[in-house]
Amino acid sequence: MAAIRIEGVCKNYGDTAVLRSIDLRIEDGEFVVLVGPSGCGKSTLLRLIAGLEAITRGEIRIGDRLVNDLAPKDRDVAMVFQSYALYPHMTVRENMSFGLKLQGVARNRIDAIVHAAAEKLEIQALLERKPRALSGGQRQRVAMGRAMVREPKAFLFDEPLSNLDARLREQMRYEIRKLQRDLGTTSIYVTHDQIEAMTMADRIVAMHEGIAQQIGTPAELYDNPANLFVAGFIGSPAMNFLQATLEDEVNVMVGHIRLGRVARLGKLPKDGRITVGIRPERIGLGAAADGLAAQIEFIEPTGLGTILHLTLAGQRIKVFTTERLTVGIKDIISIAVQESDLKLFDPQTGLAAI
Amino acid sequence: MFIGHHRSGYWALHYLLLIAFVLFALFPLFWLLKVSLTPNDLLYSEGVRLWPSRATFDHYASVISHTQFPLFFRNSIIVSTTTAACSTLLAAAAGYGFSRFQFRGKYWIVGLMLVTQMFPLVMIVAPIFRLLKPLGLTNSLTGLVIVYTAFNVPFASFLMQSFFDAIPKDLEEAAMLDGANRFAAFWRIIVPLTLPGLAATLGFVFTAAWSELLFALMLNSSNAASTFPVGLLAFVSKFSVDFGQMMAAGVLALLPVCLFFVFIQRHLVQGLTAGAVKG
Repeated sequence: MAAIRIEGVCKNYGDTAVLRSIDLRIEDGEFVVLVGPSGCGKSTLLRLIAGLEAITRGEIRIGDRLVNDLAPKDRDVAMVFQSYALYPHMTVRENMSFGLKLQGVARNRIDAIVHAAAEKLEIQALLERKPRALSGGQRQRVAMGRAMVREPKAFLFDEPLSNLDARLREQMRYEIRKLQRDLGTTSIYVTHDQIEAMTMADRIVAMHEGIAQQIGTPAELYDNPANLFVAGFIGSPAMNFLQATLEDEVNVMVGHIRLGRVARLGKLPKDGRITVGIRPERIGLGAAADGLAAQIEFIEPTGLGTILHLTLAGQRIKVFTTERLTVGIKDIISIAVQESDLKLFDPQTGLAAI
Repeated sequence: MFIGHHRSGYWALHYLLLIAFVLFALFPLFWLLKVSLTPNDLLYSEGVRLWPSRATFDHYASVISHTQFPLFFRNSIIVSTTTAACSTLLAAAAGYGFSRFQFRGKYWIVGLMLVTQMFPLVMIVAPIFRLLKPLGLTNSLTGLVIVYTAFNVPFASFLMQSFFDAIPKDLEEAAMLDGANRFAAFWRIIVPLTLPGLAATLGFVFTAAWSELLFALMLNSSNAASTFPVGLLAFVSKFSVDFGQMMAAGVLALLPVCLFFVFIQRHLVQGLTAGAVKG
């Protein structure tokens, strides 16, 4: 187990910059999730830490060791691949023993370690099977087992759940997190799924275009997104963004509708144009006389609740509610927002005004 | 019902065509066997019939005891086996490099290797001879092995590359994170998974070397370094062709190739499809 320090790490493929100066400190035993859309550089960062790609600039330390020039085998990290990458010609037992054998661990000791890991993962019955005779979930467990047995300094997960169906994914998400907590191994987990990021992470690194947009706990990213990208990426259904103006420096106006008052904010553009973000689940519905009139365009029931697609002063806005509704398309309903739920962004820079 | 009828008609046609093709392909082999078993006195007197009225192994006996065929046979085995082994080793190394690494000049190397496959070998017999003669590699099995290996490596490399391409990179990366260096990952993970490909390449090169006539004839003037295709020509004399012995020698020459393919066929079918379809 070890802390991981990433300082000013850049990666270029030819002239294309994939990572632009990433700084990240991962504490010993921490579970950090790198999340972002495809092409954001999250998998590349993971591969740099694993040593599968060379760093263009910057430093990576695992524990106290600078690992920039170390081969993957000397970095003492284990990786769980999206494809699981189980060796097809070896049984589950051989797959799990492979790394230990290469380390020259004694045979009976390997047997004991593999057996203990298999017990923990509940795959004892599968030890003599080949990977092709396993289901997706079982392969996933074996891949976990192969990573576990070596007791590495860190686990690296590269979208390990994306090949599983939704139910299994939910279960494995919990199991991976529980296992990691038991073992206390520093972990870096890459995913494009913000739900996975929110549910699993101690801290999330939200990445976009090769830059770490925000690093923080799930609650921090959800409640105080640093910019429009993070605001839009974290949360489902996604945050609403409305083009608005700031009148008299305190009144947030969408068209002629006043959404609310905010404290004076010096950081916003002088012309008063702002983007205001509101989470769909923070918008209240009601018949209150002071509510804002919006027209229903579309209704999506999710079981847990309902997503209403509305137009408010000519702009589209989504509302998520767990109330049972008896409304139809084209109905006019009244919505209400709390002033404290309004997130203001500079539309030019995308940065949050805090 | 109509559809069922239609389909069975389709299948009948399908099998009819297959049978016709197989018969067409196998008939020369059958004729080879038939003539090799026909006594000389019946060969021209019985006319064209599917099986002679009296069969004999005399031709086989005289080929083995009275000709130099056993020597040619031994030479062919040495040349073909060595060529197959050398070519496959080199092709595996080259194919792995093409499949996994980006390096300067890769485009040109692959291009040049392709060029070697584009023209008929007859064109370069003379230069090759000029090249080998001063090196003492004419009239020598070593010379043949070198020439055969050189001509088989390009295609075999492309073949091997397609097998390596079909194996996900993740597997090697997993092995490298598990503590293997690149060679160990190659040897313990990739090689076992490319056995079908290696078998296919071995078989392909072995057969090519086994049946090669042009260079075997042009680079050798002594019996000591002749392979069996050259030896077969010895049955053709100025005034007659000893068809019986020639065919018997031909049947004997088929045996090692058949054995070889029986040995690798399980891998081969798997191998040829594995190279073609990713997955």
